[in-house]
Amino acid sequence: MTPPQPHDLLRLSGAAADALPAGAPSWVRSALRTTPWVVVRRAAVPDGLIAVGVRGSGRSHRHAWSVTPPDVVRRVAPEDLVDVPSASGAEVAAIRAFRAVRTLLDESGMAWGPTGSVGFELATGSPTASPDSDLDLLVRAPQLTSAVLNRLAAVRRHLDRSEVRVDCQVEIRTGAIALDELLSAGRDVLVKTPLGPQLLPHALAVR
Amino acid sequence: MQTLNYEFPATQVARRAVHIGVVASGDLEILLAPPESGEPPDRATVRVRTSVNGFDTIWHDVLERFFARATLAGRWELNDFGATPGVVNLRLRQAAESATTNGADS
Repeated sequence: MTPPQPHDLLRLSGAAADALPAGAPSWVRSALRTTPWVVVRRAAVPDGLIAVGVRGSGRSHRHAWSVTPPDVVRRVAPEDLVDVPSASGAEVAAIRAFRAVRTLLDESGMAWGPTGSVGFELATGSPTASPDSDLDLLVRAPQLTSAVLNRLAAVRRHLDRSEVRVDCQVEIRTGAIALDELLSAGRDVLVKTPLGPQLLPHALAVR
Repeated sequence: MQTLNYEFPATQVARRAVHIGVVASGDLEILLAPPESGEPPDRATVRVRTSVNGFDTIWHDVLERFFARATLAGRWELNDFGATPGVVNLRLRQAAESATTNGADS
């Protein structure tokens, strides 16, 4: 199994939460008890550990943590979620918007999938996306040829017409970059690398 | 949604208006405008609009540290979508560089 990638969702064993440091906020323990899933973070951690984030109900409820491979009982990547039906019958706007962009992204030939609250809801079956949630997407483009950049530009034009705001991150060779910034003419761009965010010259980042 | 206002002393003046960053989660956009006539040329006024409440102290610390070095007067508007302090720092630096050099805008 390849190591977990940022944005993968991991279901943890029942015992995993026992390893939470005593100083962890109390909401973290109760969030894990209800939904024992964490999101893989992009962060440097010692060998043998996986950097993860615990998601609570509020936007400020995010807790950085790390787990070990034996804590993980299941792993779901964003691209595994494209065909997952939602657990609840009533779909919020962000999930409807996700359904609406599926054909376009499938046809683009790039690996892609939902992240953020929509991805979390589809993976865990626990209602997470709210009526005012954005749609977060990840698209993998390890080779940024001009054909790929053209396809990404077409994707952006389509996403701009979505029912909700769409936040699309592109995984490139150097890390993750916002779709808008990748397609911008700016001199420097911000890339989230495994060693933290970096400003890189556009030409170097997209090479 | 929370709005925070700060003011810092400044010795330099932004040469031109810049728009840096993106509207994306974990990121922020920064609009920096040079002081208009009638506005003090030695103050940086900073307005932060953030989607994540309760980080006033961290914002103050990050901004104070930045404006202690880059003392650039003007109106700074930060629209934050849950950026980490590391990302905020990089974007602030990018905005200051763009506003003081003749390089390309965002």
